[in-house]
Amino acid sequence: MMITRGLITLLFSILAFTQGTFLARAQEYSSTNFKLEAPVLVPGGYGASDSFKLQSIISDIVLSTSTATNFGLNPGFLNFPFATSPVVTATAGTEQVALTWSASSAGRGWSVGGYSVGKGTTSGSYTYTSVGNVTSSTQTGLTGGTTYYFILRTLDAVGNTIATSSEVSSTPTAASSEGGGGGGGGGGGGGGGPATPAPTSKATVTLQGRAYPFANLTIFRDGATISTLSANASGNWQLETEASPGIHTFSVYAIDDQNNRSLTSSFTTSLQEGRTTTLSDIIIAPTIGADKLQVKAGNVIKFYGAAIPESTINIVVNSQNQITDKTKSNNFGLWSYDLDTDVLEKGDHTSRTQVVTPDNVVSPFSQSFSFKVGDIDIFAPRFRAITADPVVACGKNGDVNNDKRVNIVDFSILLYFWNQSKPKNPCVDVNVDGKVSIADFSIMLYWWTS
Amino acid sequence: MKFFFVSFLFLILSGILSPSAFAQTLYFNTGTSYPAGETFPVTVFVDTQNKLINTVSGKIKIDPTKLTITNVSYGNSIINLWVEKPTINAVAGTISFVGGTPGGYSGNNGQILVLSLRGNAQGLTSITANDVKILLNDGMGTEISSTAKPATITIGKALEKAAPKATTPVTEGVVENRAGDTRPPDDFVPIVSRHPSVAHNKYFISFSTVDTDSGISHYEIAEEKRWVPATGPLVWTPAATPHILKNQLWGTLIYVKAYDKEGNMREAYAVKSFDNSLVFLMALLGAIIAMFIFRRVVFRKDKPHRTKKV
Repeated sequence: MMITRGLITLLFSILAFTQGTFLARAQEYSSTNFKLEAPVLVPGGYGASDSFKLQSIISDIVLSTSTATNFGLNPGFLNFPFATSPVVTATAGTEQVALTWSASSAGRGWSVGGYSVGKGTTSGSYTYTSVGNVTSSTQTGLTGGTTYYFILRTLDAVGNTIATSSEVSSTPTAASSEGGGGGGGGGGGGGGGPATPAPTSKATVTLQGRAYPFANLTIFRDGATISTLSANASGNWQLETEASPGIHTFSVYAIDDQNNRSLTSSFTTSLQEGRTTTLSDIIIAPTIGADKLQVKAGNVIKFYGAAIPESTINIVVNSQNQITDKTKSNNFGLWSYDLDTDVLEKGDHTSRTQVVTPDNVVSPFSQSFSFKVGDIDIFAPRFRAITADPVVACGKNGDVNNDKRVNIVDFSILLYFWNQSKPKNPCVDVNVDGKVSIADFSIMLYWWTS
Repeated sequence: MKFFFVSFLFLILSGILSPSAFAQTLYFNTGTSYPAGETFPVTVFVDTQNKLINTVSGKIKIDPTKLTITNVSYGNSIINLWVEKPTINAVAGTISFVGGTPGGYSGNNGQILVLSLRGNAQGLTSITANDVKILLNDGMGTEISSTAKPATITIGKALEKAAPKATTPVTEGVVENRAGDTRPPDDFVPIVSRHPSVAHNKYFISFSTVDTDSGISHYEIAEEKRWVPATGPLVWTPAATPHILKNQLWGTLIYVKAYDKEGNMREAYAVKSFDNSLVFLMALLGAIIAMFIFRRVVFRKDKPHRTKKV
């Protein structure tokens, strides 16, 4: 009996071994470097979810970095790759539509390998064509007067989709249409019919996107404000404007009800006379703040801000080991996230966020919020000072005349002191390197409010 | 054999993965050969390698013995704020520029400017750029590794046709007009302000606009005093931002004209209010005059009548 049992065990062991698995044994393994309370089985394939694809599991036990001579590993639950969605510009032409898009940025294991254009005549239904790692594509051979729907996929190095844009529609004109010119455009499945060609030296531009509910948006073209508007209760906004044909840069930023400003999103496009160009969807990055400027090691720091309602918020904390996690924004667009700083070393850290909409369009990252992990808690001021300090310290944003704007006046003052060392107005030396140079100009452009 | 294969693979990978392969690049788009005496365009682009940049500067260099710069056009450009507008140095054969765009640009074909060149002598020549600086739109003014990809052009024998047009030599900063542009520059809003650090706290006016065709040529300014009858036509003077105003105390209307290189013009204006010190003086003067009149009227009424003694 015992011999039979032993033979059966041996047979099973051999079978398990040849099938590439090992018997799990209920005992505790230990070493000087880690403690394993139960063995982990390596799956034969890869796991997948709607948000990311897992190609293999090597370790998912600890939050740390394992190293080897041939590769580095960042295991753990607080770690996942990301990629931003491109923003697509569609310009209707004669039996063609010219598409351009902003480049996706990816990280934590993903990299952008190329793009694929989806095209169809029914909203939501597309045929995809890979176009390579470029940021423009002209779709030719289209039927004039027919509305086409486009969507863009960002691909990784092996052709997997890692990000998707929102849908944009455009209606090319027919080659034989009288008067020529003109063109319809729209976004998000709305679309439009061909515009009546009209003799005009202007181009029409439609910008639309999503921000926080009732956010105050500023839109500028080539550095000059063209509109200020408010998002609606769902965070949606749209602007139709005209511009002269040629290359223009359109920029958008939002301010939430806590007076926090988002990063500026910018798109450069070439407008054609008499044509309609649609930029869609511009997803404004979340705002980010925290309850503490410095947190005692081991205590909790609360991050919060505004974003598109009922969306996923990706949070990235940069430290010796980067931490990534998710939370959700509520129906008012507000989000918060508590981080236990047990996992952070003492010193300086930064955190930033991005939003993933319910239809999986991913925004760029927000501004970075700097904080310290130290020996005591230092809470962030809840309210800003109302009275102006007569001796105003220079801001680091290029607002050299301290009028709460960064615009042509600051630029003019910068020009006044251009190339000077130790200028009379120290604020124009924005990066405090002792001279007024293009680095100061670049910082000013970053914070431009127009 | 294995050693040579590994070495070969290493060399290939070094070439692919070397920093210059991923550096942000200024490059030129033009043909490969032109006959001598013929003017041809060269477009200067920036490839940001998927990074978001907001400032570009550089010095484009040609061989002035082989090529002549006849024009530079920067209207249709991703740059809409020029710290240093593209400036031709015909003797040295260079065009230097510094400019940026609020919000930044990311892409592989960002048009910076268009040169018009003319071949002078047959032979091989190249166009390149030195001192290229490209800065990220990251709020820190980070300068990134930048290169210029030269273009090589063959200048061939002049075509046997009508002699090339005689042109006056191009002096530094002067460009020829380009026909075909009939659109004025874009709308703009000048802003009057002052700051203690600028010209001893004097009022100045700031302005900037773009022209997507031939590009901005220059600006002119005229000031008109308010509440004062005009004594003649407005006097226009060339101006650049920031422009220190002539009338510091009196309220004025300041007119700004932006001209493109084809002479098309867009006009805008700003209002400068009366300076506070002048307002105070006028109010004080007014109060003094009012008091004087009041005293005259009141005392004249209340002055007792002297009765004549009989």
